[in-house]
Amino acid sequence: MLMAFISWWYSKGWLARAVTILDSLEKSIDYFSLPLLIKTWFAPFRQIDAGRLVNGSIEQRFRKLVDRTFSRIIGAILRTVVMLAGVFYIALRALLGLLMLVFWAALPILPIVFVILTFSGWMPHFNLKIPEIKIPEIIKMNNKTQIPRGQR
Amino acid sequence: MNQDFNYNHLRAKKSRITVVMTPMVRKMMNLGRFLLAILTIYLLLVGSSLMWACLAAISALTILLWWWKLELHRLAPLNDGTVEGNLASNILGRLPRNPNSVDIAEAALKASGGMFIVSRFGFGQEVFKNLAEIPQNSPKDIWRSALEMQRKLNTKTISGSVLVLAIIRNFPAHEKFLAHFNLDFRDLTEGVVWHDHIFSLIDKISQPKQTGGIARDWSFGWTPTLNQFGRQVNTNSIRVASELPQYREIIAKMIDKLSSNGQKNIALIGADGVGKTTVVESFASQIMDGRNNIPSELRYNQVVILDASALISAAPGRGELEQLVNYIFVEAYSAKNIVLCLDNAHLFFEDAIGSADLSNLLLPILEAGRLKMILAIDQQAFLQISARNSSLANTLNTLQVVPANFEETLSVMQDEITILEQKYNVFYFYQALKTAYELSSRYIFNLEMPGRAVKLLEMSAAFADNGLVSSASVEQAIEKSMNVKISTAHQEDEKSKLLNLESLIHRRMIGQAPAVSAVANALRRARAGVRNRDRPIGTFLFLGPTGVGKTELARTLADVYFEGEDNMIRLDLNEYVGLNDVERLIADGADNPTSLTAQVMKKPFSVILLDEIEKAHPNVLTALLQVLDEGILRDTKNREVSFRDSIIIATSNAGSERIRELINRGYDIEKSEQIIVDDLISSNQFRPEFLNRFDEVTIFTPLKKSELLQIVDLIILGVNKTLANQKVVVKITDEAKMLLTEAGYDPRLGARPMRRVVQRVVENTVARKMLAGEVAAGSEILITAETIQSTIGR
Repeated sequence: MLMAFISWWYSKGWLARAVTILDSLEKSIDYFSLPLLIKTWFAPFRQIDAGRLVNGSIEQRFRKLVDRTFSRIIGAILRTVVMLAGVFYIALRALLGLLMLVFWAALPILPIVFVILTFSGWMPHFNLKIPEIKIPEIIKMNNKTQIPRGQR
Repeated sequence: MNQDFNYNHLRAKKSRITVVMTPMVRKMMNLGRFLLAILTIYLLLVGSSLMWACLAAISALTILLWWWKLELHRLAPLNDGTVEGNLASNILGRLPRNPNSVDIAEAALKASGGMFIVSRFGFGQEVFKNLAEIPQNSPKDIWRSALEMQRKLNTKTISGSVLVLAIIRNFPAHEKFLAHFNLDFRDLTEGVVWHDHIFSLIDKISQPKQTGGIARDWSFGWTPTLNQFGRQVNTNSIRVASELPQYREIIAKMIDKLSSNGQKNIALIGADGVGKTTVVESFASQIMDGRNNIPSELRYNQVVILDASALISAAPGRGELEQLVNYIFVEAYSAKNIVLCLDNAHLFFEDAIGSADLSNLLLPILEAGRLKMILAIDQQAFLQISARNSSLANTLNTLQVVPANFEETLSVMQDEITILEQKYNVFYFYQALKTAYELSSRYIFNLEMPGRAVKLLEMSAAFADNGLVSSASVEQAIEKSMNVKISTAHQEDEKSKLLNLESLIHRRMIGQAPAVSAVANALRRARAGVRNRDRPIGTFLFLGPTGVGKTELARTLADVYFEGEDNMIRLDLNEYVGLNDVERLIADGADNPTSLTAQVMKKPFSVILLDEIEKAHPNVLTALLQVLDEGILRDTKNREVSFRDSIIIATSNAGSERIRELINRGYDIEKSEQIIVDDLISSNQFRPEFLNRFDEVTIFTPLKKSELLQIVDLIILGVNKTLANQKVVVKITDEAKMLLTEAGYDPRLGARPMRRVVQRVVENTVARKMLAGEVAAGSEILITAETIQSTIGR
């Protein structure tokens, strides 16, 4: 049973874990609408002023062009923000996923390692240095603080 | 194929772990991890090396949980022909080292598939366990059958449902056993498919959909006005429609047409109930799922159903309405992601209450074909609109949605009952679905399949017995709503009535015992469930002279058994002598409520009297051939009207002279039926194929004097009933009765002369005495021979 488990863990199990990570990345890409946003990066936002003007004067046409360009700029800004957020999030998830795959390889050994550490009694030491804070010179008179005359 | 069970098989061991790790256990493990994590942090802060032990425990729990999630809870079968390799893990893990048949049965019942079959088909757990204990169900036999069944049904594993089937199949008299539950083995295999289908739906729902994300609609326009007058189709439900081959084809064509460069419109044409709206919902679901291979032009589009009544009420004026609709269309087109759906599209093409003719506005838009539109419309309505506007028919890309067949309807019902069970808090047996299909096809005419079957299922929920809807509930639903009798007679008073039907009829009708007996036997066969259900209850042709009781028998039968003469449908066929009268016979009820088909649709369980049938036009007789043979007739709207719950009695005076001649020559009329029938055929009064379709051709003999004497009693009884309010009783002496009989006897004319004499003598005498004040309330009027002589003498 143990051999079967280990065999599964380091073959099909690892693959299954990788598949779930890829699924979650796919879900994230869909959530941030990345393919759609790339395709419609500079499209007018919500089709505002996207329609064509028929039989309009030059002034009306120019105004339409300006409005549509403005709509495109707003759309492009919003889309860029979302895409950047999405890319950042997905990159983070991908990194975590990679770490997870590495962790997967180590996980079966960890219980043994932790048991050994328990019996060894070893504990990690953390040197927590609190940095000195410089404060302005204070005149102390009878343990009271006093602000110098010139600074009152 | 190895039919032995190996307890130590690797897959069996894994299954046992799976069974131990129930949802509660897994919850506890997760809680344990959380608490250990907190403890770890604490131990770290205090500097205890026990922290490592906690981490070891957390790691171990994590390994177990991940192993369960990724392998154990869906242990794949090995497909190696062994029991352990193919048995579902939730059953495999429950089996002891040397399982006996009861252990196997109990393990099967603990699995959802086993419980599903046993409860849906109404067997009950105890009955099933008893079946498992028979000698033919040794563990080896069960495994052998189960492996065979798995192969035949092509299921992934030997699930609980397959195991239940195997155990039942090993029972030698399993067909008889299943017949007791109104089932056959094919129904059980259908149950396995149904259960697997439910799990595949659950799988489908649990898979994440690709819906385009948070910024999906940023490239599409706003549609505030459309949202006010339209309803976006729900894309979250997984409908079975997309699984039906017919609907899959239709949806594929819709996707093709609406993403093509041509006219982007679809007209879904079909009767009410075929599932046009369901097809639209499935279509909306498909195009909203990014996993499907949908053309980019149609992907993530929203299907919005326009509400005709909301539009009309918001803009009652003609100009206003067109302006509003035009505005909505412009909004939909500008948004670029809208597929507009006009449900009951005929409301937009005709001027009536609740609808408006917008053809002038719609036609150019449809012809331009740039706005994506779906029109759902009834077949008849489409033909009428096309007749008025032929360019409309040419513009639309039509797709026919035909009524579902039995298998498709069953699939739809299986999915719909999960909603109905939640809504009405009931449980449907499988048998109820089959009965719903059968009875809805007979009795529900305003919808087609699968809508009519689903409607009947919904009606049946009100007749559930302790929350259980069975075939009986479905029958009750039809009986109460259609006023028919479908189930076999089970109440004592009805059984008593049926067994004594002849004497009950003879209380109102004298003589003609063979005819009375024939009709009573037909009813008894029907109510005992013995007859052929694909024909009318009985079809009779009564031949004989006038006034001998042919019509009276039909009326009496309606009164005695069909709860009143109102439940008799009478057609005088001397009014159907013209060539065009066939149309009157089968007219739609809305146009002619007195047509035969309209009346039978309203009252399927009735006596149908076709009087003077020899006078009908030959075309009318031809139309009636199908009724007599198969019990159905199509009306002018092509709906199949069922006559299979009616008794049909046709009467005719044809052959009366021949009957009298044979009687005078001393022939026994009951044995001379064939001579009379031959005469009718040779004289071309009836075609042989017409006469041949009746269950019985019964000759009514002229009334004898002794029978007329009894009729006098009946007539006097009727007179006394009329006078009952005034508390006056008429009595008649025996001598007076003899005189009346002599005066009213005419073998050519039957009982009618007798009735006229009684009216002249008895009723006139009573009327005169009452008006002259000679009779007070509570008194008796005695009709003597002298009274009669004096009256007849006048």
